[in-house]
Amino acid sequence: MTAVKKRRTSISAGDRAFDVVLAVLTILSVLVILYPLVFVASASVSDPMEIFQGNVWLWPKGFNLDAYKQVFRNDDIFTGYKNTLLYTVVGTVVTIVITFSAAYPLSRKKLYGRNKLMSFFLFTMFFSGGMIPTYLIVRQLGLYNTMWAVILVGTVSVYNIIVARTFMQNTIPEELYEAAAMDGCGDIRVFFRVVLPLSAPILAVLVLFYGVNFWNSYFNGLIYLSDRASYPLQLFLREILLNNMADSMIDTAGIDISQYMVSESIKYAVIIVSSVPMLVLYPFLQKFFVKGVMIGAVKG
Amino acid sequence: MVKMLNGAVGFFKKQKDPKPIMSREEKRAVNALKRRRIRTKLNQSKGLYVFLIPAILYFLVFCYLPMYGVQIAFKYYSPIEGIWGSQWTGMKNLNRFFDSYYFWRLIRNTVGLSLYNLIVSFPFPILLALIFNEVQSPKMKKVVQTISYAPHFISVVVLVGILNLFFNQGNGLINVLLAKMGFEKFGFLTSAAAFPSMYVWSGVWQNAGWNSIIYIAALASIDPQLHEAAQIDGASRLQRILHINLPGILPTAIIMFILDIGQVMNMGFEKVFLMQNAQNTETSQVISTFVYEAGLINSDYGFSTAIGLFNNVINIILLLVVNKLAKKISGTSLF
Amino acid sequence: MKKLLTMFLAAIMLLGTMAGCGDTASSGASAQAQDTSVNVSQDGMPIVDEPITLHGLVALNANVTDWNEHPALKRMEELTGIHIEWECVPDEGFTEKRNLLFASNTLPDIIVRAKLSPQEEMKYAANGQIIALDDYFDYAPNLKALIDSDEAIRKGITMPDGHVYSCPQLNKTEGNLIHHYWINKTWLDNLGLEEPTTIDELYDVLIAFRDQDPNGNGQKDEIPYCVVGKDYPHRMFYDLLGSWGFGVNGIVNSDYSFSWLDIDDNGKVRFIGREEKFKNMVEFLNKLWEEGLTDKESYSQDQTQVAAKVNADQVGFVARAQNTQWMGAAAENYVQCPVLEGPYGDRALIDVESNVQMTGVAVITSANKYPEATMRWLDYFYSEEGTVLCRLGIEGESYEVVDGKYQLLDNITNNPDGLTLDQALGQWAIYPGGYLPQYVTDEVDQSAAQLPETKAANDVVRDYVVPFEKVPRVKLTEEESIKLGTYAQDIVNYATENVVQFITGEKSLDEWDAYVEELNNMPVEDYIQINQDAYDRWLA
Repeated sequence: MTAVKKRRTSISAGDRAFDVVLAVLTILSVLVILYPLVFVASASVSDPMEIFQGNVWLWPKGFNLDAYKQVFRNDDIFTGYKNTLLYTVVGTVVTIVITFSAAYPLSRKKLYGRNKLMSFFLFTMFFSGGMIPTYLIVRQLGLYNTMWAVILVGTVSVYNIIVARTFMQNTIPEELYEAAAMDGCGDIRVFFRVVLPLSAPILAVLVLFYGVNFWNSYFNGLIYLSDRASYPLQLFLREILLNNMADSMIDTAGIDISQYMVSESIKYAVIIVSSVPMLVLYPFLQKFFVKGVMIGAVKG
Repeated sequence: MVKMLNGAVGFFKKQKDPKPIMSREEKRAVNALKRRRIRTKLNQSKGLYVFLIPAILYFLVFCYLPMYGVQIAFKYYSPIEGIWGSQWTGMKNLNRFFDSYYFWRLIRNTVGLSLYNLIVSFPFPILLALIFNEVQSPKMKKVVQTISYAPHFISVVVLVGILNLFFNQGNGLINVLLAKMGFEKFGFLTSAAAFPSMYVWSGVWQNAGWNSIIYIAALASIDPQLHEAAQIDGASRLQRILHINLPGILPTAIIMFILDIGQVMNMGFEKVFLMQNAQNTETSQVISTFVYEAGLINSDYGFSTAIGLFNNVINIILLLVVNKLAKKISGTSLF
Repeated sequence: MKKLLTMFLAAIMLLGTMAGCGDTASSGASAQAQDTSVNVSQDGMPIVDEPITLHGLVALNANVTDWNEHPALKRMEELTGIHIEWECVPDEGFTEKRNLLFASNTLPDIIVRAKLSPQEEMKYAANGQIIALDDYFDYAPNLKALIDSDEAIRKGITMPDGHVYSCPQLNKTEGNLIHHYWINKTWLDNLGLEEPTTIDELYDVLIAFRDQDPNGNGQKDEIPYCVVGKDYPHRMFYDLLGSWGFGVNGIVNSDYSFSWLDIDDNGKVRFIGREEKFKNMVEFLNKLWEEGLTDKESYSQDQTQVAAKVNADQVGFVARAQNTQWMGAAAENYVQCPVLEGPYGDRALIDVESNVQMTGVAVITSANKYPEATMRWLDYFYSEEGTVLCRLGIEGESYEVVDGKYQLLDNITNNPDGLTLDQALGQWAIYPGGYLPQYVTDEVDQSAAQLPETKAANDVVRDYVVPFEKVPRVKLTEEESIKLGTYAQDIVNYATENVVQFITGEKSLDEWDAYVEELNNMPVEDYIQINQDAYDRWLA
């Protein structure tokens, strides 16, 4: 009896030590993940000179909001925000429609030629025609320099189609379809009446996936948009953050380097301003996307 | 009836090689049956086909239509003649690629970077999942997980921007710290030697939390009775992690690993492109960035397309192999 | 769920409208161009008797107002009767978009600030995508007069097939054509040092900069040798090439990027990157690097970053640009370093531009229904009024004439809203960023090239610079271009990357021979031969 008790306490002592190790590891990982974000946030409200001298390392030094004032005064950021918002909303709706238009029929066992159709979609995941032909088609369709180029070219993901299809297959039993068919409910009606309501979780996941994608994309804009007024946010970010200032020494009246210091200081604020919407949004959708990732990864 | 028909069709199929002795009428009858069967099947899912129209249209226009352009990999592309009219040059573009001095470098960089990325970034989500799973309070657990997902929602542009801010040689945080500790400043952003690590570890930071989702879910599905039984047997927590949790998520891990291998040649473009500069091209020039440079900057379209095609083909082969492997090992596969 | 359903339906409807917009928005270039029979006058304004509309593409500099609303272009329209609808693509990303336009053959009528290299120009000309301008020289009186009066200009813009396909930017001002290297005079004075005149003296000065705290802040934060090398790694040594005898007869480059080719004293094209003398230079630069004299960030920093360091009083020697404007307030610390004599007794400054400063700045495409009128529109910029409009903007708004001389107004040079000179000027003139059809002379130039500091810097180097006429403007035939296209980039990249590695010590100089050997395995001789042919053609 005493022996058992002794063993128990010794085990719990070991467990306690292990608890500490685990706690340390947990805290450490959280810190590593969080630190860069906290630093950027702190730097964005610090005095640029303090950052330049490396005095800021965790909390803001010389608190001021000048950088944000600069950012909000910047027309580019405003334009970019507006455009990106538009592209994200419309783009998400359109891609979701297309995704479900493929996913639902593919989830139905009775669909004749299901495998062939699946291969039709899958093939595009691994083989593409390349940039020039795609560009030509975009131009021929008259989509060049319109938001539809940004929204449509290469944005619908076959992976997401598979995720949605698998979800429907797993959550909607065949009996339900049979019952619906008995009631004289057609396949399209079934979708809107039964399948879509039951697929709300996966819809939420895909909205998030597509939304994030549109919010963060810049490449389509770079290729298909020529009008600066319709540039998405990420293109302006690229200019500001990655300092790809044109090497414009060729013919110039003179430049001013005070601009450079300003642009240095607003970089942090720009990061915060551009990333906040997504960072605020995702925790609310967390319980959904955990499910979505699961389905996509394992059952794909 | 249908079953019988099936049997009939199957019978004729089997007999295909030694040509079945069949009169013309019989043949016609069988074919008609076949057609009717297909027609009824099509009819049954008419609604579904209508439903498919937007998706099919989309993929036809934006994915399949452009595929005709692949032919310029074997042509000298002239914009005036267009894709169809341009002159054939056979394997010239591909040979030029194979013979060039950067061929092996591109392969080395692409595969090397992918493999490095795979090996380093693979275990972290598992570790995170195992650690986070041990957090006792459900509330804390959720908070910790939520935090770990955050970097995933940052754009590539911003990620590379943060890297530049942290690691630049002049006044980047890391270099300022190094200098304060008495070390020499180091050009992380410009060093060819440092590029792969910068790329991979920033990826770990961004995605480890996100990728741990699947393992956390797998852990949640482990039978709690196993743990209870082990506890009664006096197993420590570490032992339970090692002997119950780890084996519990192993199948998932294996599948993930195999699927990742399939992507080895499918190096993402944007992040490498944004991190590239003249000094680190030795390690940062990968196939996708090279295709971009050859095509869009040097307007060498045939050449660029040829390299892209080469990469596509390797991708497909790799994928088929990996898919087969996955099927064999775990019974799950992509298609 | 009802909400979701409505969303879904709305989406489907959207999809419908989208499919519809494809047909309506098809971009017909100059759709109203059925009537091409407008009268185009050969002199006098307006150019056309009834207004015409063209579609133009322009690379828009960040400091310049949208061309569709730009006063200088509005003035042009009033003057000429030609309305141009501009597609303004920002400088950043312009190359990609321009290339795609050519690749898809969906061309505008005119491209300005086209930034076409001679090779691209030849290629698109051979494709028939851009037209020969010399066919319309009757409509280009100003440009034609310049060409007729100056053989160097004619040679500089004519392609091997004898035609001219693009408008050049011509420049006769010394201050715009010589690129300098700057040394920190304040530091020299603080340490009581003389300006170096040889490479060895430069080395000693750099050592002193490193060790003797010339900026007097007690910290060892000095950067003796600083390079603006981002995207242009050859700048590490380009300005010093003359001190090792390279480029004294001109650097050969057919596409405005560093080609590793120069002309030796026998008029032969030579590959710089495998010469013994060049190895000696690399050794020198490697020594600077190893001893911590070179800025370790040199290869990744652009000019704004260097400007920041210059203003933090950290930089001793920097090779950059025609004048010191880019340095901002710290400019007064810097003077042109005397042209340095190298270890073999060579002494020259080779970083100069030709009077044909740039070609490929504006082209007329085959889509254009009014080439005569367009030619005259472009030609106007080569007249004095035209160049003034381009560079100085609108009289009374951005400049005035005082005693027969052009002068920028105070609201431009000292903008009340705190705009920089380029930003303020960009609202009235279009030249910030360059790459424009214009004929720049000292009379019409109000840029930093006319500053006394710039003139002083030119005085220091004048005896050692390569004459502007000697700077070759070689052109390749289409055939040569295609040939070079398959390997030239490889050779250049290979040499550049290796030299970077040798300089930064990533590769030991012991491996030099292996590098040269590998280089010789590449078609370097063909590369040289093609450029030799082109050079001989240019000489003839």
